[in-house]
Amino acid sequence: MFQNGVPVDVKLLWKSWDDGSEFAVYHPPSGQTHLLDALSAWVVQLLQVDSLSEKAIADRIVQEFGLELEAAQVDRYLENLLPRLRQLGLVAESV
Amino acid sequence: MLVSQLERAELEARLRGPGLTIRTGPFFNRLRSSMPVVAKGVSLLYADFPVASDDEFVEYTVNVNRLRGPKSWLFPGAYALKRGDTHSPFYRFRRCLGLSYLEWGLNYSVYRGCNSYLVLHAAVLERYGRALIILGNSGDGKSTLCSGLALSGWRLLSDELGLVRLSDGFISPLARPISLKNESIAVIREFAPHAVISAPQWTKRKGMLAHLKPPTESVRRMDELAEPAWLVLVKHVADAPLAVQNVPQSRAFTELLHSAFNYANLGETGFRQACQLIDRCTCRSVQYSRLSDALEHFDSSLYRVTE
Repeated sequence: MFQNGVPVDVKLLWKSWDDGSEFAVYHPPSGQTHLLDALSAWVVQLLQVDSLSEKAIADRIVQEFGLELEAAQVDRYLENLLPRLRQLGLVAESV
Repeated sequence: MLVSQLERAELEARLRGPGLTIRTGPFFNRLRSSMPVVAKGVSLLYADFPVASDDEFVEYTVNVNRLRGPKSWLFPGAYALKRGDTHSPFYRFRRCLGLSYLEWGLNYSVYRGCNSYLVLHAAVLERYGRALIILGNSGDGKSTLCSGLALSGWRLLSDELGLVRLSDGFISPLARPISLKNESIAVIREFAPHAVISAPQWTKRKGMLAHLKPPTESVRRMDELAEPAWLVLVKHVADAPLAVQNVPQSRAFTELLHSAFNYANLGETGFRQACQLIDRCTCRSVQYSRLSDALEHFDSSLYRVTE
């Protein structure tokens, strides 16, 4: 199963505002700055620590925020989010 | 020595010959032109600026002169703006617009050539040692508001280019003339009848254009930096009431990045400075129609320092 993680040589810079509801992240390799909502930022920060499969990320989200979320909702969310994060270079896929 | 202390003949000779070297805040600039309209404008608008010696190292050189060479056969009577000594002319214009293109050339030089500051497309003013940063697109009333504030007790730091020092995030003054367009010329003339404003000229791209001489006190204090305290997104809406709203810091950050000419060049330093600036500022949006309403707002306790 494919693992998702922030490349080890990428040192992201973070800043949060508005009571932690919005995050800015600076991606040094591209020189680009991205704004992320709190959950997207939580996922990227999780993947800075561990490389995880999509299933494992979904489990961790449910574990962390699970009471209000259904598994199907989380799966759909990740199906949209992870390709976007890969496109931006924030996350890379490995075997 | 100040520009106002130069005899007009001496001023014209310097502009025609080696160049007139003046300091505007942190930058030394060499101005060259044989156009009487430029000499007249420099004499009027830059009267309070210090003159530096001809051998001073300069950051920016701007030449405004008659177009020469084969292109002059194609465009007889045209004038050209050149940056530095080696650049080819990059803009042609009519003689009466010489002063406007000198101003544009100086702005262009800073926003394309300066990486020692985070350069913002912003008006910046100071009171109580704290800087008010005004962001807005062209036509949003930024320069009108900036002129009104600069003529009402706020110190002008810049009308067009906010310079955020990379070492500590303080704003460095660049109190050059304020560019006024179309209706704003009459608004400022009515608001401050004694203000010194250059003769308006018609331009294809921006309509009527004139320049307000920066207040003498603002020029005299061009070395006094200010700490950012307020960031305002301004918008002029005709016949609308004054509307003020708090702005989330994340939105202010996005607007700041859109306004920063050289953010991409500065890498991590730019990111850190932009974040620090937002952390230091109270962020609001201000929509106004009448200048007097806006000035009353900026005179309120929201823009006072309480410590």
